[in-house]
Amino acid sequence: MKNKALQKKWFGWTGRHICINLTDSTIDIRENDPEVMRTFIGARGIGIHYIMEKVDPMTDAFSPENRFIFATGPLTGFPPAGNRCYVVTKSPLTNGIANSSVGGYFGVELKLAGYDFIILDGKSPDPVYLWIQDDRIEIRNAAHLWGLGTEETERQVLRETDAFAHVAEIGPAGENMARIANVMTGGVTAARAAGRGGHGGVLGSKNVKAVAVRGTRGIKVADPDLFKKSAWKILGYWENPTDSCVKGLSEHGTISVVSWANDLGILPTRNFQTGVYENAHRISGELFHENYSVRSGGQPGKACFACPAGCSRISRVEVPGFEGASEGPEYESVASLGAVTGMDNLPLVMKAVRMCNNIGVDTISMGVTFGCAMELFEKKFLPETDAGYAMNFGNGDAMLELIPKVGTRDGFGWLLGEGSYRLADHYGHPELSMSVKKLEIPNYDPRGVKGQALAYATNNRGADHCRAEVNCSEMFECTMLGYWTPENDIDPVSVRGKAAMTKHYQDYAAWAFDSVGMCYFLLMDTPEKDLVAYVENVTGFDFNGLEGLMKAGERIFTLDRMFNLQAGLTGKDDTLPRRFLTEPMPEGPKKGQVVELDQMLPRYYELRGWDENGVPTMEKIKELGLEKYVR
Amino acid sequence: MSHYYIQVNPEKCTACRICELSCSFRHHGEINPSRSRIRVNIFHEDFFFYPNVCNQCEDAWCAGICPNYALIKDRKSGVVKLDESRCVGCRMCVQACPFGSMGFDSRNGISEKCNLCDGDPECIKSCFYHAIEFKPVETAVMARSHNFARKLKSSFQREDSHEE
Repeated sequence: MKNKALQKKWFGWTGRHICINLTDSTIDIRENDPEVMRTFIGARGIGIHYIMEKVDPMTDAFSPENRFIFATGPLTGFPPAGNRCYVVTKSPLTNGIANSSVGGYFGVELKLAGYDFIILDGKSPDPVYLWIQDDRIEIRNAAHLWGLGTEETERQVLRETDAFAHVAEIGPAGENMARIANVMTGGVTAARAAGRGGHGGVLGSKNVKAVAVRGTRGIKVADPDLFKKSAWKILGYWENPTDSCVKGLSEHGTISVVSWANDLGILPTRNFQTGVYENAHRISGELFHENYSVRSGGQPGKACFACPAGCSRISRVEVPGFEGASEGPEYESVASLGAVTGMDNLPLVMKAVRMCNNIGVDTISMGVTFGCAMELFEKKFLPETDAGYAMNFGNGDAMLELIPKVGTRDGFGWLLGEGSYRLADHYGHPELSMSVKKLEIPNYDPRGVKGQALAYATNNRGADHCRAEVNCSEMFECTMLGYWTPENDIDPVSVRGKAAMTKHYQDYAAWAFDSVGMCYFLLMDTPEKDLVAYVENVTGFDFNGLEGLMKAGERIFTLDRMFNLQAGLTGKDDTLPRRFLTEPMPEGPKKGQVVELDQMLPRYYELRGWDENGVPTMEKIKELGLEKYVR
Repeated sequence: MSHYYIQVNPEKCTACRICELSCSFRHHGEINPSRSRIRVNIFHEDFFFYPNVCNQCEDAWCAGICPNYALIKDRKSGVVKLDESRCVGCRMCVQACPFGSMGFDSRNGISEKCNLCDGDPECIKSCFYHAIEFKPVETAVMARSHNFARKLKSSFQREDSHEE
């Protein structure tokens, strides 16, 4: 076979991975299987393969039979912005597949220690953390860390291990198995999150508080000269970008999107009742830069490993009652905990974001769950005695007092930690949960970006903007994947061509960002073929060019789908909350719009090779070589 | 002739560490920050990021302590050069350097230090925000002096600082 020689020497990948059974504390270091790596590439792809291999899709997400995987890709560690680490498991929130990506330095450090991925099985009898230092791997007692916030956990673990280690950890929300708990990493200002889908709760169910890594081995490349050429070519697209959002990210950070989204009429406001927020200027990027940014004048704040953009801001607030410093905040956090909840006080929103990070819950899910509770309250479905507060939109005091309770699961905090769908369902109005497959919707009102709407409805982990950031072409006029060009303007509210566009983004994202290990922000201006060359030059593997890699993307996407279907989800779950399908946008530039999902979904299924119920046909399954995963 | 040196501007550093991977790739052919000759020190809580690299001292501690003359200041290039064939791996230079800039390569058992890539440092080329700059030392001194004066100027020009 073509890649036989590579079984001895690995490039890009380190060639090894760690398998840990927490139940009996066994640690195995294993060689990668080259055929598996070629088929599934890394990160998200590897994650779904090893989940499918072992986990019964019907299993309870919190049971010891669930698996938890930290996985990097072959380009994790490489410029520009190869720094992603994926966490993959069965989601306690959606009951389908959950994969979430995080930047910072953790994934790179794991590779430098000599491992591409970690597979965690079983359940530790007592709280533990893992300490990986090159060849030395220890399972350590974490009783003294249990209950600590993510910041303090990181501080302690760094003290006990190595000041130069990098740590991924959960907060109290994860320990107490909140379904919206996340995994945090990124320094003691813990600001990087593998957020979406409840991964923190799964780690908590396994009694794993943290993973610390320190690595001093190197990552090798197959062809040093071609590697340098490829890397500088792609860095060139970043240095001289077209008029896209990439440069804006570096200069303004994601928080600037608040004003853009509001101007476009798609900033979700008061639980998505409208897309225009009259107080957007009070939580905007402009206000942030004027008052709370540590670095001014378009200077980037902090970068993840190997990233030239450095989109993260660094912030400091001295307003009494809301004091604090951290990285961020990012757009999604500010919009969810600001606009969706009707807050008009940026320092308060920033404090809420820091609190969410510290207890380890996903800021999007948390904000949208609060928005849901507030609408339930205002419509009199949620009694004040249950919540303990008058949950009107804009009640920041209630939000700040309730967030810690989501961590400890006290009182109403218990229900909030279950996510918006279970909360709304509890009060008999699931239609007020702004979620798809029970995962809360990110902050682009789907009525104003129809391709994104289709992506929300069909993405495997639920409502999600990262596994197909269609809105980038729709709203930012970004050249990503060549869909938007000045000649080929894409109408965001048209449904024409959106099925093909969404499928293409999903398949491309599945290999290019999610499995290779690059951050998609940096690749917005990079032509596909250059990335293909980069991956092949670094790994020395022949992936059959763009065609082969797009096929790999489709394979990964379809396998995620097969897991979901085997877990009991159906085509009926490929939908949006009723609001977006039947309630026209009441005001603003997108006034009158609804999502014509029925005009896109059948065409989408057809393009995917799925039947009218959204089930992949046997023909498609065979074409992708996925027969062995059929149950 | 004037000497070039690497000027560090920590206020511009984003801690992306591309300098580290460029350095390790140039000198060792692999991506490995622990074998880089420039090291970004990250103080997360203070938002302070400082790339540390050899200053190429005129009268270097490392050269002064080396008993085997493996470290010699080259007057022409300005580089404190490590003669790998003379290095015995005693690590006294690592001890002696007050800036923590001298490295040690455990795999080869000898010291490891910046040689300014023969006058065209790889790290400089890959720093997108000019957090590290390669400049003639005189220019750098003037620039720093001017920067400081600019800060002073703004405080002088603030209205409330005028004397009554």
